[in-house]
Amino acid sequence: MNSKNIFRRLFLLAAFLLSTNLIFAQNIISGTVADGEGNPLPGVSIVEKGTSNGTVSDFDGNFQLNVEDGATLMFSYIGYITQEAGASASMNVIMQEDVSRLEEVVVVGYGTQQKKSLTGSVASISGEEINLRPAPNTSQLLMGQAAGLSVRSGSGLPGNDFATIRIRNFEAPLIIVDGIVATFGQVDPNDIENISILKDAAASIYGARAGNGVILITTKRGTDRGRGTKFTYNGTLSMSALTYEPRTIGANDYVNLGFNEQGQDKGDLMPPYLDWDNERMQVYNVVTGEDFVGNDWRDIVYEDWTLQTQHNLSARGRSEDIGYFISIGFTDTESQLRKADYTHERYNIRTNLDMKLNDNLTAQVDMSYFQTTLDKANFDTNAFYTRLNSGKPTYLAEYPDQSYASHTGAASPYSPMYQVRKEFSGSIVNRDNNLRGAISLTYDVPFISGMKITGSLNMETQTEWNKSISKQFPMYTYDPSLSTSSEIYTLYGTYKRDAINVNSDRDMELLPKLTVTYDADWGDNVLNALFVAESTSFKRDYLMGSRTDPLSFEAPYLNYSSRAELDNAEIFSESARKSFVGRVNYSHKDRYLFSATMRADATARYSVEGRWGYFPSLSFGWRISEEDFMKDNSAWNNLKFRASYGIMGNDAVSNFDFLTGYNIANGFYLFNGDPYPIISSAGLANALVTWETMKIANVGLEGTLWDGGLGFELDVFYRLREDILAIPTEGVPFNFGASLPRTNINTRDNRGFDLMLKHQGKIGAVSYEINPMISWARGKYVSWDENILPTEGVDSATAANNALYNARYARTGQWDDLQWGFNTNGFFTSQSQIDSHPVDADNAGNQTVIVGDLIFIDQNGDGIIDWKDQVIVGKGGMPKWNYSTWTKARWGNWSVSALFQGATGYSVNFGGTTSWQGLNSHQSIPTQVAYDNRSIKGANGDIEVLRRFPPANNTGGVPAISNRANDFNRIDAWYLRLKTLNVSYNIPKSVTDKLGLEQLQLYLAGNNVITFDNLGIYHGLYDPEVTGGHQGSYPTTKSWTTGLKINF
Amino acid sequence: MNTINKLLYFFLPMMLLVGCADLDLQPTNMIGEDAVKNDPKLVEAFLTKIYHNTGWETNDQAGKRDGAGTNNTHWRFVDWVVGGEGTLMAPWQEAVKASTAIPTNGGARTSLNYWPYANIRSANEILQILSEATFDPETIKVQSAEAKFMRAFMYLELAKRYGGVPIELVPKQLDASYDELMTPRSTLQATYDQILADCDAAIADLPGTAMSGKATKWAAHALKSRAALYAARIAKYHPQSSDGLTSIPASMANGYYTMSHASASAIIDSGKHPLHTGGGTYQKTYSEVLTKKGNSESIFVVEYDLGLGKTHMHGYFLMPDGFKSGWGSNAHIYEHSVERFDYKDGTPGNKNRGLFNNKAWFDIEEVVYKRDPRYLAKAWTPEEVYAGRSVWYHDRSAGAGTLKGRGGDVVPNRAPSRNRNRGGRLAQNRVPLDGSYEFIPYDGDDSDFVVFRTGEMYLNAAEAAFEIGKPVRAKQLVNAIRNRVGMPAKQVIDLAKIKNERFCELFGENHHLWDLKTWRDAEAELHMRTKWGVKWTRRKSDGMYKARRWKWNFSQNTAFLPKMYWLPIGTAKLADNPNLVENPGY
Repeated sequence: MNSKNIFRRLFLLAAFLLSTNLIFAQNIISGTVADGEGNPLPGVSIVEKGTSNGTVSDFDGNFQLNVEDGATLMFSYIGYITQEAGASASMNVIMQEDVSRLEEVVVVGYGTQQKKSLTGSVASISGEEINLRPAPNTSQLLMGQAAGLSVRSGSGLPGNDFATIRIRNFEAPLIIVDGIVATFGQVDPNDIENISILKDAAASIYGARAGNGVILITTKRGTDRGRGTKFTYNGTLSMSALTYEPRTIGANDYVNLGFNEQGQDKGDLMPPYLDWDNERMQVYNVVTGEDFVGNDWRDIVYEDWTLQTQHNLSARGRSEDIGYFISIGFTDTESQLRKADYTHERYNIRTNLDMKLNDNLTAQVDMSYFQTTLDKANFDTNAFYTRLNSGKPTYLAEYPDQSYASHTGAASPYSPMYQVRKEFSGSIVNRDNNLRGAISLTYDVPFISGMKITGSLNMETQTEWNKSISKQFPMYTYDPSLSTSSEIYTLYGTYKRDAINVNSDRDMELLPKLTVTYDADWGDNVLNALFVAESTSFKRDYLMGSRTDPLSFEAPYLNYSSRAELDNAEIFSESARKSFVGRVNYSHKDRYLFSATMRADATARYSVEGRWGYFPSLSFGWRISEEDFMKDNSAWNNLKFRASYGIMGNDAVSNFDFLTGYNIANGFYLFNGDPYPIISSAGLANALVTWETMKIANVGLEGTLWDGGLGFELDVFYRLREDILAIPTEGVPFNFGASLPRTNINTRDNRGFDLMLKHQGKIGAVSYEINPMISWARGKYVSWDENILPTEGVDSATAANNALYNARYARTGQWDDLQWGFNTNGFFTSQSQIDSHPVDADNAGNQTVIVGDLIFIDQNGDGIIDWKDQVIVGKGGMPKWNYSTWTKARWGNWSVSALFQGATGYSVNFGGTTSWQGLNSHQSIPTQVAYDNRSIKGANGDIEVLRRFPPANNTGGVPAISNRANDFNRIDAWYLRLKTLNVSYNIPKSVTDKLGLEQLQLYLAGNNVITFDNLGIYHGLYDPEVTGGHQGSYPTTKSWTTGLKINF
Repeated sequence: MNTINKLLYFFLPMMLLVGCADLDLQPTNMIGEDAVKNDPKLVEAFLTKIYHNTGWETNDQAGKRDGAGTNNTHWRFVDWVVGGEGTLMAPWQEAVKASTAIPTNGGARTSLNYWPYANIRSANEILQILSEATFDPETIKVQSAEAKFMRAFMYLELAKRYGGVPIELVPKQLDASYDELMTPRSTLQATYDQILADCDAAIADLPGTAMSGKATKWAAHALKSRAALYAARIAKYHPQSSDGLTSIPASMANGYYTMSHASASAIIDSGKHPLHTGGGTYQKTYSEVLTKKGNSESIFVVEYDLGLGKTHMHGYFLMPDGFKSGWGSNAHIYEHSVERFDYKDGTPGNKNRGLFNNKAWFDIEEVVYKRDPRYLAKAWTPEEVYAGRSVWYHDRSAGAGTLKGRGGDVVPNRAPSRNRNRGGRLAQNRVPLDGSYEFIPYDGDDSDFVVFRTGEMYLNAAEAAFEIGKPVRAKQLVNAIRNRVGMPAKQVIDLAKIKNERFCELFGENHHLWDLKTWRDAEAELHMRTKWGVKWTRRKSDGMYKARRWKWNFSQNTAFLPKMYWLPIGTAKLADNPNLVENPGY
């Protein structure tokens, strides 16, 4: 007799013992289950109380079950309150929504838990909620979804539009998709079932990489809500435009600003054929066909509104033994540049299969493939914006004959318009492929009840292939006043070289994992235990080849290019890690919850001595509302207190720092015209180098009152970040010639709170929900290894100076975001004012100060401006406060949701100087701002009307002293914006039934609809979400979307 | 047991796979320590690293590519601008900022600083490795001498900036005592003596010829000649400081001048590196000194090669508007620099200043093209013909007419904006006159950088000879230099004439700033000096010009205070090593 039969018999015996009820009389009952609004609920679990006899409702909410006489049926469904009802022949059950969602299953590290039994701070976001507006990647959709999550967009350039995501203002969090470390680019938002954000010790289970919090993304799987297949199509069509962009002023204002107010040479402002007189203006008018208004280079390079389309089709369901989710997606995102010159496309497919192989054995087979293609003109964003910002409105962006590339008239005149055109500058193609396969087998151990063993193997390969074709293109000056056509266009110079560069970067990752779980309960005591062993090995191979001067761009391949300048390179690297994870959850009476985890991590980045790290955590929950003294209090639906403490790590800080020896350099040195190789000493090594340690403590209180009238969740946390690597300042001086190796010496911390409120209600036929959130987080240097100036053994004046310096700039004990600078009090408006100024502003008797420089306040009154006069002028670019509110309302077939989101407690720095680079500025101040705030020179050379910006009273002058950090340039900012507005309409059921559809929804969604901020003179020119580098990056975008969602 | 077996087949390999991940990985770009000690090829590669990192063009790193695809810092012409020879296109360029900033105790601008102690340590490590090495003694001897040559070069670069500096001659270990680690500054005299001692060792052991780019006996002589000259000038012209950190006893001057003269003369007399001649015209000959690879005058160079991807950007920045690939016309020569170049007939360089009144029409052939050929080689001039086209400067045209330019090409109404709007004089250093740079790519210049050349040695020797009372020798040397470019011989010699000859011969070669500092002439030459440029007007009918001088606004306010003869050590370094003393005035 084989073992299979033994187990089968044992199982039958057990089943027999458990189902002794079967011998009693049987009744067939049937019925339907629906929600409060009468919609049928499929997948409701219906169990005869006290037995294992049960079923689930089908797609139309119908069910049928054989039960004993007088049986009680339990109806349970996630998101609804479990109901009991006496069995009757025909039942119509209405399920009531569970306002505190206690039964909801939340994904946590290596498993799931019911919300009621959570002991850590975990925010859970459903896939449906984030998909209210389309976005090219998931990172953009997380904004305003969870308290304590800070999300900021930097650029709207397709392919480069990932938002910066921070949990509680820590560094970049670990992102895990279906158990594997991934990026937001590797998951289609439509495929997401839910997202969990582990904000406290709940992340500890991810050990050495979890120190900054963890975002878990789980994709959809085959449903267990009845059999059959549900197809969903979601298609959107969006029109998008830039939120803000700095405008150029008209030619007239431009020349006035430059020539009259700024005293700049006309020659710098005008093309050679155009002088500032009526005769020449007429030439201009004839050439351009318009009055002397000039052109805004942005109008030429940007399209006003462009299209994005997204399509996703998925099938989800279950047959006898197989559950499946299959999805195919396509996204086409246009930029504001011409479509021919910039396209970004993504194709993705995903298959998640669950199979029941036999009674004890189930398998999961998952596969996903992404292909992202960016195909654009060969331009560098920074160079492009430099030229765009410096393009003069007096110069023509396009000549009558467009085959001649124009120039901007500025110092580096490569026309931005021709930079972003493939036919001139060449092209860049990036193709990213990501292929993942995972297979796992779960064995439900029959002889140990509650134990499951899962073995799984994940494999992933990612290839980034990049090819750039660079074309040399000539630029021309244009002078229509010249007689012959050959002279009208004069070759000015060329941009770039003819060259081809191809590289491929290939990663391969292998991740085997063995998991054992054990669940048991004895009456009031429930125990869940987990053990995981896993390892990762990772290999990366980078290969590059380049040549110049292809024979023809018709055949733009390396092997048809010149051998005169060829180059190639290979870089290989590998890494590996190994981990063991354990967790025990215990609950008593469903009231007292304990959880303990332990993880051991080892990585090849560190020496044997520093390799293993151990990361424990402990957490506790008390469901006060389950206690007898509160159970009958009708106001409280739920009240829970939580506390957690955990230790985590951040191991991405060092790579083979423990080894000594010699590095082989990539470069070379020439002797007699031949390249000779270079090796250099790797420097001193620290054999004990190891990861950063993060200790986080969190206390939380959550509750629901008055049947959803008020829900709240408040968490307060403190995180200590120890063992930060730095080169010790004590020890060896610079003349030693080598720095000490980095050592785990520094400590920082973070503190803050997250608060989420929720109000649900109904006014007439309108049900609504308001969900505000606010969070605050800020960090300090706890102990920082730094140079402290001596206060002993020096003369008393020096000692006093040094003490002040230390108290002010020594980091230990200070907030980590302080920005020091000078307070200002207007500008110098005349040379006589400078001459009589009582304070030495430049340490050279004001010899270098010019009219228009900022006047710095001499805080200590010592008659000289130096560091002692600095004060705190800002708080850095990371917002300390994040706030948002979701409002959702539903009325019949209509629903509206709106997300307001904003931040404050940060500063935006507008450039290092109050003046600007002449008029061909590529500094932070747009000409529009400069013009609106210009100063006007009086007859005697003094400035009579001084608003904000000083004149550059010298050609292209930068007032050197005004370059210092100051409160004039740094704005303490806040903003509030309507991030998302979604209005959707469900086509009435009577219509969809006729069409044979289950649901047909039309929606209109807006993104970045309206914004309020305090950027003052910069309002409407720059996005307040972006805190720096305004002039050199592609702006953020706003969009309006129409969408169609069909279930059938 | 079938099922169990089947399951084991699956789970066991999984456990093995988890267990098998190899954590003992090695990085792929490293070589073990011991391998290097006994392999002359690896020592050579380590030595090459010192060549690579020394920064022979310390303040003049014009966006170099080094073959590894990395661009170095974008500093260019810093010495040139700070030394007041000319200025750059825009005030935000690092060199202009460096020239206007007054250093504080926070330290000088990064582009002026030079702290090569890491590379000095490498040289010391090599010397230690070689002292224990067992391979070919001749190789050991030469490699040691190269390390000492480079160490001396780096200490000279330090001494000319900061005065006396901490001297490290062995790679110290971490277990050294506090006092041993916190090396105080040596006196300036001791610093120069260390430099000269290393030079002597290098002179003794280096071969007379080596691959281009490698140190030779003659390179070591050249370094010694320059170092000893600086030391002598400081001794003679700088006031004494109480601690000797920024001064050298005046009594030492004679000895140093003698050493400088001896080393320079050794090179001149050896005949191994005669002055370059034979370029056809004086102008072309002189231009080839910097642009023709492997010319006889090159004593020590840094090599570049476009094909191998090691390039710099001088040509790209220096090509005039109208030729360039998009930048160009970046370096503008001040009028006071132009006027230091005499006319070919020996008449003074400033004799035509009165003509620049925006009224008088003159012939550029007389006013511009009769100047010293060295000026014509190192400056772009109005209507200079390059690659068959003219370089235009005129801000506007007057009258009517169609007379073509010197290049036979059609004349535009106005010159390209960057030529007419700025100084009206553009530097042409290191751009060959053969027209080959017509459209130079972005970073495609591969002319070699000349670190030491014989021309400097003639002038070092001349100045030293004059200072030790050998004016006849001095005059001979100066006239040899003048003779090479066809300038008439000087009949009498004095220090001012030698200084002017040095200015003209070495214009744009990163010498003038340090000459001014060591002569203690910088306050007189640089402090708040009015700087002039020129605006040109061309008459269409006959190609005559008129011109006016105008003030260079953004460079007006350059201060040179007495403390600026020495750059500050800076608070960061003082905190690092409490035994250090800051330079006076900071």
